[in-house]
Amino acid sequence: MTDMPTVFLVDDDGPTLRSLALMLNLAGYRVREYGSATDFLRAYSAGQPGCLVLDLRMPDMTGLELQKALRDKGCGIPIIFLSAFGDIPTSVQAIKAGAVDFLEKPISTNELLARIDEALTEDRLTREDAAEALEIRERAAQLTPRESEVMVLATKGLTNKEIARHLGISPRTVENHRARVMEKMQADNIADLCQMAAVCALSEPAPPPV
Amino acid sequence: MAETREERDGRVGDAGRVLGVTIGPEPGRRTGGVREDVPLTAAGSGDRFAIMYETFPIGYASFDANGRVRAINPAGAELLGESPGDLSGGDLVRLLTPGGRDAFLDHLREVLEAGRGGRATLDLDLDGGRAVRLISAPHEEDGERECLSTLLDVTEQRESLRRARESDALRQSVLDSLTAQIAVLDAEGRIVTVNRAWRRFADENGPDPHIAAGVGSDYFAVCKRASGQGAADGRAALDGIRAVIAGTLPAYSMEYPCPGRGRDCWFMLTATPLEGGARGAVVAHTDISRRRALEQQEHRRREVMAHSSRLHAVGILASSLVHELTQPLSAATFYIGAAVAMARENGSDEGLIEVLDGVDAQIRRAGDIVHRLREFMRRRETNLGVVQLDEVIGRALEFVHSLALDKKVQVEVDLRSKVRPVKADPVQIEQVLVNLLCNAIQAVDAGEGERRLVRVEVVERPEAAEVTVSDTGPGVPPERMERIFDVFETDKPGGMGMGLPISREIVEAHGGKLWAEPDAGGGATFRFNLPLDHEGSAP
Repeated sequence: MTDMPTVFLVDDDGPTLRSLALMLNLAGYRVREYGSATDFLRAYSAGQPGCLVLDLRMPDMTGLELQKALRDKGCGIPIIFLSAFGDIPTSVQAIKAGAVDFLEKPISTNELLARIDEALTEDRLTREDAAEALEIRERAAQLTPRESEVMVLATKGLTNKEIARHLGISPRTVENHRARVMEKMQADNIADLCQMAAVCALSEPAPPPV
Repeated sequence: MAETREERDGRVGDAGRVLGVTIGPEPGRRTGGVREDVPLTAAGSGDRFAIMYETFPIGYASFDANGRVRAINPAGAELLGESPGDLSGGDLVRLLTPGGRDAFLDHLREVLEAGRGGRATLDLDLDGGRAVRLISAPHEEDGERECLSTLLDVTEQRESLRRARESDALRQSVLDSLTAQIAVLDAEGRIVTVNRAWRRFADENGPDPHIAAGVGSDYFAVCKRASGQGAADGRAALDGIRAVIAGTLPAYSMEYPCPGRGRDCWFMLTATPLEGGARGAVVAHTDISRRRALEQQEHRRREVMAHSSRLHAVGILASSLVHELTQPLSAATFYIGAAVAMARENGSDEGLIEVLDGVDAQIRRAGDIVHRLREFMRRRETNLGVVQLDEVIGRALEFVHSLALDKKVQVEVDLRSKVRPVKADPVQIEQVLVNLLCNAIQAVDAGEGERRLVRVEVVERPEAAEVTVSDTGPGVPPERMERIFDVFETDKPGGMGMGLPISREIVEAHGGKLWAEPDAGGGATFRFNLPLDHEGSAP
């Protein structure tokens, strides 16, 4: 599976598809072009990085319908609509449904390239965020139950003493657990740890004994 | 001894058969008949005149100077409503009204004073609504003068006359109730009768060549007298009415402008043949000014609608054009992008790259126009930017360069004064300038002047930049100064007249104004202003 981001083109107008693919290739992008939305859906597998440049009015399946189909599949690839005939209500609908951009033909190559770059960057960042979150959760899964409790309370802002009292253990033990947590989670400081905690959704420890 | 009824009937019947009339009592009719119970005074004489005297429905009587009845026949007595026995020797006068009495006595006097052969006629009204006519002559017998009279029942005649007069009055009141001016002409074109509206029009308009004074005048002469504009109308009317009278035309009508009453006054003349025996025509003049005004309004409305539907068709055409142009322009844009990239990669010479850049710029420009057109059709807001007017003017001049060359018109630009940038949509302002320049060049070409010059000038005013386009053409007539900005107003055949209204709309959308000024030199001057850009950069 290739990690290089791909610009996917979907447009039923032959010359548009060919000229755009040619231009993008020469500009250094990896391009895959499809003459219909169904062709694209058949070929695309979720998780492929890149962005989608999509026409609006197509026979069989329209651009908006494809957008919905991708969303239903949980696919988050950024979509740029590039339409020859768009009205304002449609453009609003597309943006509300999550499109990154709604552009009207004819558009200058420079502007289109700039927008594609933005979309690819967004896609990369989204993936990086997702990958990072996955890793953090994996690290969190390595914590012992006690360590997990300590992490939750620590990221809530409790001092060691307070954590010790809450859990019914000695502050010394808390300190040890804390050190282990920082190590396993690979956090540089408590702020880092807090951010990781947000991603983790760890369960709350039992309330302190009365 | 009196005859028996059978005998008398037989004798009367015989007399009737000789005369060819039926004489006898008719049920319900008293006048003109012979009463059955009247005794005959000349029974058995066999004298034919006696028979007539006794039995015919014509009354005979003789009066003395005082109005006393000397003799009267049964019919006469019948007419007067009495029996001969009652009347003979009696006074007629007592049967009459005071007015009738005087009239009768005057009549007697007139007759008795007349010489031999004199005759006089008198109509008397009697009780019960009957009318009797006396035709009298004097007679002398035994040295005494008497008045011999024939009495005729003229009730029917009087009744007919009265009904005729009533009918006339009714007809006249109907005529008078009509708003059209109506005259009835006889076979020679003389006016027999007119209605009130006709008389009133004649009074109000004095010697109007189209309306004769009144009854008795020769309408044809009036038609012939029409002069100037109305001469042809007069002739046509004359021929038409004559034809109607002659029966060669079933009816005639003509619309004509009413002279001297303003250009919007129109009348319609109709002539229809007179029915019922006499030859002639009924001529009517109707004021159709309002109808014609409405017709013209309707005509103009239809023209506007046709124009508007043509515009609508153009709008649809433009919309589909925009749509059709979009894809090829878009693909061309990408291809050119690819070509430029290839040329640079392959190290092609600068010349090729320059050409490709040129194509790229023009395609981009075409794309801009498509965008603006699409926005114009969607009526979205203009895309304001910071615009240097001299650049826009320069581009507009390029656009009209070939037109100016072709029409041999010189275009001068005065950019001496430094003008700050304005906040505007450059493509739209270019459109306005191109429109004004084209109009100016075409105006100079249409005019016959020696100087063939169009001048463009920009000056800075407080808060705005002002652009002036003036030409040495024939100029705009003062009454058209405002109308030229109306949609559809054009003096170019086949033109749509959209340029100036659209230009004005564009300028006003920018917060400026576009107007025309009379030029001292005679040509047209158009000016528009645009607000200056203050922020230094567009939003």
